[in-house]
Amino acid sequence: MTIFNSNNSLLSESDLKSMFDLYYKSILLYANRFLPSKAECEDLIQDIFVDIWEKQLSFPDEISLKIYLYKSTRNKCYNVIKHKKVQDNYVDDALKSLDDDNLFLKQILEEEIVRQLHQAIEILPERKKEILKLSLRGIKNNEIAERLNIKLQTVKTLKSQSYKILRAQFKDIDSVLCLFINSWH
Amino acid sequence: MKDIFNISTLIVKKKLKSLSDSEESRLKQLKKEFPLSKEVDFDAVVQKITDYSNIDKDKAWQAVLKKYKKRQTKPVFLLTTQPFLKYAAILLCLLGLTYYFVANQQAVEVIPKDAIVLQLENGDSKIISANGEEKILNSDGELVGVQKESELVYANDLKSKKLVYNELKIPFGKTFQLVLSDGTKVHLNSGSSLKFPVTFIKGNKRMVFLSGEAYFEVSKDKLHPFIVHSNGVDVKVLGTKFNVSSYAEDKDINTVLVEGSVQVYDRTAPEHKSIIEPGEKASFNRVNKNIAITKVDVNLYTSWTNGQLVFKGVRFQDMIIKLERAYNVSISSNNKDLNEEIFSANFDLGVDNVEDVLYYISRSHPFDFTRTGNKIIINK
Repeated sequence: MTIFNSNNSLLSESDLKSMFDLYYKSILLYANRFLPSKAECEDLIQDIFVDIWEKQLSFPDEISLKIYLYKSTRNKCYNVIKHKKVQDNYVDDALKSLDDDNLFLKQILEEEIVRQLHQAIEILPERKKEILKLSLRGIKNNEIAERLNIKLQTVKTLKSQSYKILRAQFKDIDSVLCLFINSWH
Repeated sequence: MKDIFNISTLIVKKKLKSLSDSEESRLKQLKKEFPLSKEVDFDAVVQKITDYSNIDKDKAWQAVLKKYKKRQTKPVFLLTTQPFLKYAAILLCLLGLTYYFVANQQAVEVIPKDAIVLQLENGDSKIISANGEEKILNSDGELVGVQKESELVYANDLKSKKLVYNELKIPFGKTFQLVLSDGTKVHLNSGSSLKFPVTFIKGNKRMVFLSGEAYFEVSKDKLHPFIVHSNGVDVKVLGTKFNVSSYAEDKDINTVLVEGSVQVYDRTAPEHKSIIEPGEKASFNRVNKNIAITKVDVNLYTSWTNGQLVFKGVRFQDMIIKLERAYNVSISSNNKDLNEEIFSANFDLGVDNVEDVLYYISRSHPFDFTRTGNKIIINK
């Protein structure tokens, strides 16, 4: 874990790359809520990472990094939309939404849930992932079985196997985190 | 604010049935403090997880590296306040200049695909830079034309009276304007080429050869008919404004008349000529060699000369072909419903990039697309 760059050494390319790997997709989709052009979002988010690198920003912990990323994305989106030549209803809505601090919290909560869920279930095989995604949307086991054309019992088995894998994974992450925090102090 | 990140982790663990008892009570407490955390829309969350796989992260990382390097190269000039660095800077400049000349010499031999190229009478190729200036000489060293930005103008008072040709080739993604030695204006669309006499000879017909699309404003000269040869079709005029579109991959060769009068005929049967009037379109079918004449909205066929991309009742799969030429990209769509869908839309090439165009279309008929380099793939 070197991404926090708390010591005074230079922020290297690989430090930045690990930040990028973790957060690029989530803040890109966050920006995409307000700016419909994917290309524009990509450009804006890439600039945020270039800024961090160029200014050699350091973050005491992962949460500060997250707060910085979401906040600077929010600001950049705001500025871009504010300076759009065409002011239509869409722009008004986007600005209102960006202005609302409560909404901001709700939106980053959602983006973080997406990011962590994606990361967690990525280790699962395709079929298990598919079942879990349906289940996350609140779809009942019997309907999942119908949709995927498999037996109800198979759905139940695959689901409980998935949870077992995920629980073991979380345990690993937690213990790594403990170790990390211990060595930190 | 920090709590938000704890809630998100706990909600994820709860959803994946991996929450411990102590975490469970912690989540309950946090949910009370942040009631908005109860409103998370999991349909949207799952949709976004799926969206993740459509994001090209590696390409984006390459862009970050490139941008960083670009920013790093700028501050060199600021260093010149330190005497030692002055010499280093001068040395760097010298190295840069050497590189520039060496690179330029190589560029003469290797012509990039996206360059506008003028082929001279002796067969040499000259790259035309759309924001530069260039003087075009003939083999006797006489000045025959001057290029400034996206226009090339040929001289009308040449001493040399030989019939020699130049050919201008425009790549996809660019357009160009040409003024021939008789004052005829030609606006060439992307992916097109025109071969034309450096100077027209008195007593001869004025003949040019087109592949692709061009808009002509032909100078009046009753004694010297102007003929556009294009893939088996000839368009013959005396002086007029019209658009000819004859891309090799299109089924029809279309001529649309804005002003004046033109004759359109199959080169192998010049006696069967069709005469069209302003506001009419002659379509020559390459397969059965028939010419059909219909009334059209002229604007639809000429608006490209002002950088507009206009579609009226066009099938998506036909739109794609025009977008590919205009933006120099390749677009493949395996979305069958979408391909047959009919759209009407206006875009401005100077303002809307190809992603914007696709995004606007996807608002009325939802689909996803991904871009890798110059390739765009449209999914469901």
